[in-house]
Amino acid sequence: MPFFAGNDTIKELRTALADPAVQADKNRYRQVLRRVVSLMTDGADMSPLFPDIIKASATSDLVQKKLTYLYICNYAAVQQDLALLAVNTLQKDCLEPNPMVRGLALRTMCSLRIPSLVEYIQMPLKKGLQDSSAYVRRNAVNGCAKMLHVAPEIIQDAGVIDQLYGMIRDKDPIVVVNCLQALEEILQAEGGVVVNKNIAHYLLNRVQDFSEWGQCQVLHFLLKYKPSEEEETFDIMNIVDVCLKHSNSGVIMAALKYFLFLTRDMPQIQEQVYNRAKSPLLNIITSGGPELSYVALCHIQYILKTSPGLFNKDFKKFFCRYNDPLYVKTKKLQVLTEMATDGTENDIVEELSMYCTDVSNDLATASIQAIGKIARRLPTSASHCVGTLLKIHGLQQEHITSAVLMALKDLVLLYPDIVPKVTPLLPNCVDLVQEGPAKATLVWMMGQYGHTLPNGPYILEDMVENVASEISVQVKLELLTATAKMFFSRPAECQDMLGRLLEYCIDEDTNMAVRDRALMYYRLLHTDVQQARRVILGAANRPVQIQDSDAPGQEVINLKDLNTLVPIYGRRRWDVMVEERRRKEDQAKLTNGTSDDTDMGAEGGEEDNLETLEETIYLVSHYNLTPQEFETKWEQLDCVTTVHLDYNPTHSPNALLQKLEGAHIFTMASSPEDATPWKAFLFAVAEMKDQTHLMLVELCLDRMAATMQATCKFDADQMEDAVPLISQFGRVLRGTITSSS
Amino acid sequence: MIGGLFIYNHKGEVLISRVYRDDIGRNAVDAFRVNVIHARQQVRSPVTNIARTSFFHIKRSNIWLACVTKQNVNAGLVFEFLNKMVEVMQSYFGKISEDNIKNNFVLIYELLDEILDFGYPQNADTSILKTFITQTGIKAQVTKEEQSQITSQVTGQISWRREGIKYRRNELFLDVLENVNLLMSPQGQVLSAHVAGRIVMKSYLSGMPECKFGINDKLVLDKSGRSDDPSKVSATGKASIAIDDCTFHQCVRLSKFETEHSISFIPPDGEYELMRYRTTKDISLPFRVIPLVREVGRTKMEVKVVIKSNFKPSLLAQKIEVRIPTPLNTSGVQVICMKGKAKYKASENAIVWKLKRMGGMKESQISAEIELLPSDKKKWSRPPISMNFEVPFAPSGLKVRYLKVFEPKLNYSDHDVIKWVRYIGRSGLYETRC
Repeated sequence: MPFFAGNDTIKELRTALADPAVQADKNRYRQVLRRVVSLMTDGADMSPLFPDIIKASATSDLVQKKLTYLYICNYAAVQQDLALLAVNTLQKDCLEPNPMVRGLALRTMCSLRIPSLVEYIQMPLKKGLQDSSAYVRRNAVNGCAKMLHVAPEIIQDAGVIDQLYGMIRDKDPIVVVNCLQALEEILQAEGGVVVNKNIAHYLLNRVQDFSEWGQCQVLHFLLKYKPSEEEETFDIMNIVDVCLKHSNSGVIMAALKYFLFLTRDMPQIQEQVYNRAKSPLLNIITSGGPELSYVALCHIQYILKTSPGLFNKDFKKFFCRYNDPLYVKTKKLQVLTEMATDGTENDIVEELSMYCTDVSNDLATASIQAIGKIARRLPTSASHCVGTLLKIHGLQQEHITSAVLMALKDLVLLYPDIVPKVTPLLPNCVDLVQEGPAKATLVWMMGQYGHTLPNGPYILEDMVENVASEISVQVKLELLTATAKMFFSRPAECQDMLGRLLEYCIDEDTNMAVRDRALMYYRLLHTDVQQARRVILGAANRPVQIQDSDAPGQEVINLKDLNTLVPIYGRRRWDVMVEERRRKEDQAKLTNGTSDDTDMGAEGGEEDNLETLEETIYLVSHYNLTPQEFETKWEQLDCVTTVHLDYNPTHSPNALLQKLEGAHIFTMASSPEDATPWKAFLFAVAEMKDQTHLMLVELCLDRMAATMQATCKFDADQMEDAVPLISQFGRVLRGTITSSS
Repeated sequence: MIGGLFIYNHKGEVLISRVYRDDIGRNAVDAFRVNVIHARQQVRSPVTNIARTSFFHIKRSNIWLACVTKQNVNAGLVFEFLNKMVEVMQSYFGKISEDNIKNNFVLIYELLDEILDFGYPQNADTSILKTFITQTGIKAQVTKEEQSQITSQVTGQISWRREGIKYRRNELFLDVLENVNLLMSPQGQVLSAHVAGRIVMKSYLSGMPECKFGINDKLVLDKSGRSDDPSKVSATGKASIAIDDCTFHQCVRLSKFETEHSISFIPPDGEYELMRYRTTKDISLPFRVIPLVREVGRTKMEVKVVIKSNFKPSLLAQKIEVRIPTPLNTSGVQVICMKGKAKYKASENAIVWKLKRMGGMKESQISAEIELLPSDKKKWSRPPISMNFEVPFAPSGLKVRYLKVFEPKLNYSDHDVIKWVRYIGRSGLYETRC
């Protein structure tokens, strides 16, 4: 919470700093400085004291020096003119015999980051790189990386880069790591530091010297070097093998990634690597803290996508402990679900059923969903899963029963033979289930299977009676359908209540969808009862194919993503984040001329060639695509992004389509002009980097809110291709639709 | 890399904020407070993304430590770093608490400056850091001698030990500390069990000694062909043990471990963790808990719990505590136990039964009648019965076979070193479902 320290405080501190009695007593003087720094941390504005502090920085007392430098770093940007005074002292300190002072001064100087001071810093920095003390060299190398953002022209000078490359051979391991890191940042535009055979071998030979943090970084940089021969690869693996035994899980993960990377063209050996990695990963889960265990679980989940059977023998290690935090439990649950295969599924389902009494309702619900998922994936386990679900249902808790119902709904469609077991439960659920989606499920099941129950119609009748107090539209829609279905099997008992329900929905309900459906049923029944039976009963009896998109073993993971944030956030979420960030940066570029973010990570290199759209993305003007092809492609593609757009009501949807056609985005199909909701399916073909990519779009118009939503699917094999495609196509779409005339 | 590090108290007030990179603004501090600390719900993930910025947090007592970055970093590394940071702070001022952090904030800033530079972790070894950090010592003026120490520190090949250490008495303390974890089904079936062990050493040795250390690991013994030597049978009746996984302190020469299976190292000075390991096979579980829960109608429950100790009768277990959870709607509890003290703690919803000590191969039981308030609320989720104890042996069966010290330059030999070895087995999560 920033607040303003009163003038009195500042005056008091200033007097104290100037008081000769205080100045003479080192401890008292430190106390005063400590107070200044503490107020600064609280957010008080201490910048008026800047000149006094600069005076204080010219001291031989190291404690005092550190305090003043901390202060100077903090306020230099605000007091740019006065910062020049500080440089004087700092420069002097760079010549001190004590390496601590030299290093400290250099670090502080580089942290000031004021462009006008660059000329004063250049010399000490270059000298620091050649200093005899490793401590000073470490700071100097990091200083180069810091200065990059203030004065790139100085740092990107070939001399500095060569010197840094030379310093990779420094005898201090931390200097070596810092050099690599600094070069990576400085040479970002050219793809970072170059690791050739010599450097790679040199780093590998010294890998034991580096600190744990250094090892993480070095292993990361080694990814850049690809050994030429198989023998070399094995030698490297022998050297790095020790890192898998390190106590720091960061090192273990980095080593693991490196191994997988080295063996990427040798599938058999890669399998061995996965096996080798098993026990360190399990170790992190059982004995690391909850946070590390979460990270390891995310990685296991990610790895399971390519090698689903890897952890099958150890599935018991993933059982939740009572004290695990919720996030660890949730992750373990997901992993267990994906691990279930023939042989282990019964134990896993048993274990999952234990979690449904967990204190957290979310976990309980998730565990039930997980059982449903396993049943869907493994037909052999279905009957066991259903048995378990029915047992859980006996607990008579609202959230449990709701979740069980929803899980069963998917299963009855897939395995019709379980219907007789499920239907007797329905009457019990009526009082328990109150929430919208679960209730809708219940009503749907009543409509579908309720006719076999002796009191089926009467259960529905109770609901029909209370329809006026029902809030959920979904429940009302299902109720209409269910009652109509019931009417065809038990007409005598249902005719009256169906009439009442239709009457209510047509006359009194305010929701359009409900009214529409009621009217449709009414008219159908009115004109031709047989036809109505065909329509109402026929529609739902279609066999439903359930696609389990996250079933394991279907995706090939990208090794590059290991040990980054991708497994933690998940591929899709990460892509969205990258895309969003890119958009933000583009916006910043348009408004300020320069990007706000100085540091943009690895993808930043491409930024420069995105300036004009026409240069990189070119939409093909003629392309033939049949509706069938469109449909199959739409099903196949899973690289999706959604773009939200404003809709200008003065343009008709057809005019919009014409405009899109002009921009080479073609219409495959669209709803009639005045339909609500209005939808159109579009496609376009882009040429980029000599490759063509197909893009499919579903455009939905919400007239009430005057917004449009475009769901775009991309045909790109590589993630690297997809990201620029997504961002550029999004802009073309936006540009075309929002442009006037 | 790491863009900034913040420390908050439980209310979300910022105690420490240190920003290393320009891409992290002051508003990042507030974003974390609002979205995570004030969210008043269970934490969904230790990694949170707010406006394309990733926040990694850990919580120690009621202090939040958060690292923030905009880059795609290695999450394992960041959490390891946060843990290390906590460890370093603890070694300076003990418990991580709001008061301690406020009183030591200058020290913490100094630490943060040395440990991280521009977001890249530098050196985080406590013993090394002590030579850089001015705040602890009252003598802040760096003397000539210290200055040269720093230089040798900074350039030395062995980063974890400085030269010229001297002790009058050369002593070595070795503790085998094991945490035995168990999850048992009500029927007495072991669902999962593992031992997480640590070998902690305190060495007060002069010069640059080289230590060699041997344990009864299966691999080692098989190799030397001594696994069937009957005289090597340990307390738990096993000749050798299978270690699933182990990690070592940086000082251990891993290449030697790989080839010869001998653990040799030049030890750091003072206390450190030499090795960490995990075993899952043939664990001798010190205690068995046999629960019997009977629900008598809607307002009464009967619980009987028997514990059996399963180790040599000559050994004594200490600090035994059995925690029997009770339902939330408990109105009263009557407890009968033959040994120890048992109490119903309403605030913790549990019956806590404490026994000062218990010999091996004994059994003891407690029975309780729990009266319940009639309620048709949620079914009780029956948390597991947990147990705490301390036993003077290693449940994994690990034994130290030898520990030798060589110092070629100074004139003391292995015999002159006084060595102390101690085994302590403690309960980790030792749970039996009921």
